[in-house]
Amino acid sequence: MKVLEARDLAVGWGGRAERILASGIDLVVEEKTLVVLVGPNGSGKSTLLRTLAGLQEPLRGSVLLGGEEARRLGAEERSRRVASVFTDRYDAGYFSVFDIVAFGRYPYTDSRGRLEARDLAAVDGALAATGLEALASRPFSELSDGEKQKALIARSIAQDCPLLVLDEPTAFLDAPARAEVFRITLDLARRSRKAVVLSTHDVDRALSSADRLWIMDREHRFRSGAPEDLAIEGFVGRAFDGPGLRFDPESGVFRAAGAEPGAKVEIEGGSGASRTWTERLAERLGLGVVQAAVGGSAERRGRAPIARVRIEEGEAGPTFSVLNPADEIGRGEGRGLEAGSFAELEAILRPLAEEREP
Amino acid sequence: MAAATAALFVADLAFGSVRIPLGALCDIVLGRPSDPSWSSILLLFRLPKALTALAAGAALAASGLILQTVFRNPLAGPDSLGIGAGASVGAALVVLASSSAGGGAFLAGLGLGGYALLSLAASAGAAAVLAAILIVARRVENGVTLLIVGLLVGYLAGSLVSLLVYFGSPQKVQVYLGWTYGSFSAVTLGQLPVLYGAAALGFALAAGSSKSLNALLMGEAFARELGVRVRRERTRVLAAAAILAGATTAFCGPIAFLGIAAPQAARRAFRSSDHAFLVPASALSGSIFALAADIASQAPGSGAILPINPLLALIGAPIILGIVLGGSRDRESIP
Repeated sequence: MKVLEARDLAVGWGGRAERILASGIDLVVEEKTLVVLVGPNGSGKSTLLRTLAGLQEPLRGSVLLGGEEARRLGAEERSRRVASVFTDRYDAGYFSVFDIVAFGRYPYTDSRGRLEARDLAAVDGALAATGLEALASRPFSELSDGEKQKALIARSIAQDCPLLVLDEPTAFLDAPARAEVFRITLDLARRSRKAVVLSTHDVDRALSSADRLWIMDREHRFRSGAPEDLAIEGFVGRAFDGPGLRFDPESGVFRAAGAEPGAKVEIEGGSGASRTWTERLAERLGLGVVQAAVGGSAERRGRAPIARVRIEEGEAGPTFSVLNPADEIGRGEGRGLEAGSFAELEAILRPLAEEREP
Repeated sequence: MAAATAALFVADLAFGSVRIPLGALCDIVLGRPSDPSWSSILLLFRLPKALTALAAGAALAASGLILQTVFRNPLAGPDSLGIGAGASVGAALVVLASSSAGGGAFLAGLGLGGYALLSLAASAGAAAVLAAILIVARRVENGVTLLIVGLLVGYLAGSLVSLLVYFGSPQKVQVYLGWTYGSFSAVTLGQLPVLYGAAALGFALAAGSSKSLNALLMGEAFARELGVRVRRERTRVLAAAAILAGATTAFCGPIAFLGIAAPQAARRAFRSSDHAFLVPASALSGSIFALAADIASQAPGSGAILPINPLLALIGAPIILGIVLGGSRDRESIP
């Protein structure tokens, strides 16, 4: 079922100084999907989300909520079809977490705002879905940023809409809180059959959890697709690559740009964590990694590795021996410099890496 | 709270330059024969005065509560919208400028007719500002802009009053200043229905808006996310605030302190942000402040009558300070 649809949409600021941020946007959101919108600052993510949530008028085109023109719906009917949370700092006075979540029932309660049985059930359900039951009677203003964000998401759950629009729900949050917010939104899409549209700067997580990825790039071009398609077609890189950062479609992660590894290091042995972190150390030092040749007949194109690192798994963690190519690489058994920790390994490799820099 | 209000109301009736015993009070109220001089003091003077204090305190407090919520600013009060200033211009025009129009006779002694005219002019001034604010409120999205407009209107009106005072004759300036001290005793039994009618209208609007006020307290963006029609609701509650403050200011003069302090007291004392509770609670605390100030203005034991405005701040400020500093766990600036 199409929960949200936009046709030839143009978003931006209206009025006398009209400014279109992005135009020609066509999109569809089905139920049970998590849509993640990414894009650099100033690309118009919030403006697009506000327009989709009906909080801002589209400059051209139309937004359909549940198949009906959003602007023809009254404010109340609209708030039963789409619940939204936008980044803002709230001064909640003496309101408790329960009170804040109960605000989600605003579109359903009578003029005095009294909560009926079904409203209370919806609030309890939302508190449970976000794991906030124990905090229900605490003042909202005393919560941590992560808990506040969860309470606001709970409010939007209590609003009981098929579509949730969350603008940067993970901003200002630490890593565990970010992970939990993503888990909650995924749960909403999977178990509660809702459509969730959220924006974030956490592109890695967007790529790994979104059912549909939306990208707004610096030129305000909009693109929608499966995260894998957009990554491999280069749209992720086009949106985010800059002087300091480059998206590597091969590994699917961002790397510091400009450190195109010239010098390489050969890594031998080790497995799992010791191997991963040795490679990470090399990467941090701007060194490429070549797999150790098996059987000595290494096929080495381009420049020879500057060193070979042999990982030895020890009782108290890995130890390393580094062999300098000038004499020992290739011979395999020479005694190199020994390192008992990553810090010591770094101390050995760094001068070698810097020596080879152009 | 209601009990405290009732007790103060009775005390306000009993105390004054002539002390009326409680028994006689009951007799008069129940229509039983009693001392005729006590009876006329009570019915013609003290009852209207106490009823005025009751309504004015409640109305100003509720008005202040609404404005603090809508503007999300703990320092907002009836003055922030320029309503008090508008009323002052009306009053100043009548008192100070009428002489130049030639008809200064009634003002010399300032009889009953003079006071009625003063109230009328002040009402008109307040209503003019109110209308302007509401027109702006319907067009402006941002509450802060509205607050700035209100303050500017206030300054504009203030400078008009200054000019009028500058050119006014000393006698008339004295009369005008008397009005600015604030008083609950200027309202006659005949005018009371007007004050109570306006207050009832304002309260009806405010009481029906507690749900919107709760949402507006969280901010306009928050309210909009919930489907609140922010402009419509804001216009409605501002109309309520303006009617409540306008009527009171017109009849009692600009009583600034009450509108800011009473809602603060209610909010902090009961640690609540729910307007379904806060509107009546603020109103009651406003009545309590007003009645207490009125009793004190009679200076029980002495014969003198002190002006209300300085007294209110004198009594109220320490109480509010105690409440605010006592609850110093609330580090946040709760509006």
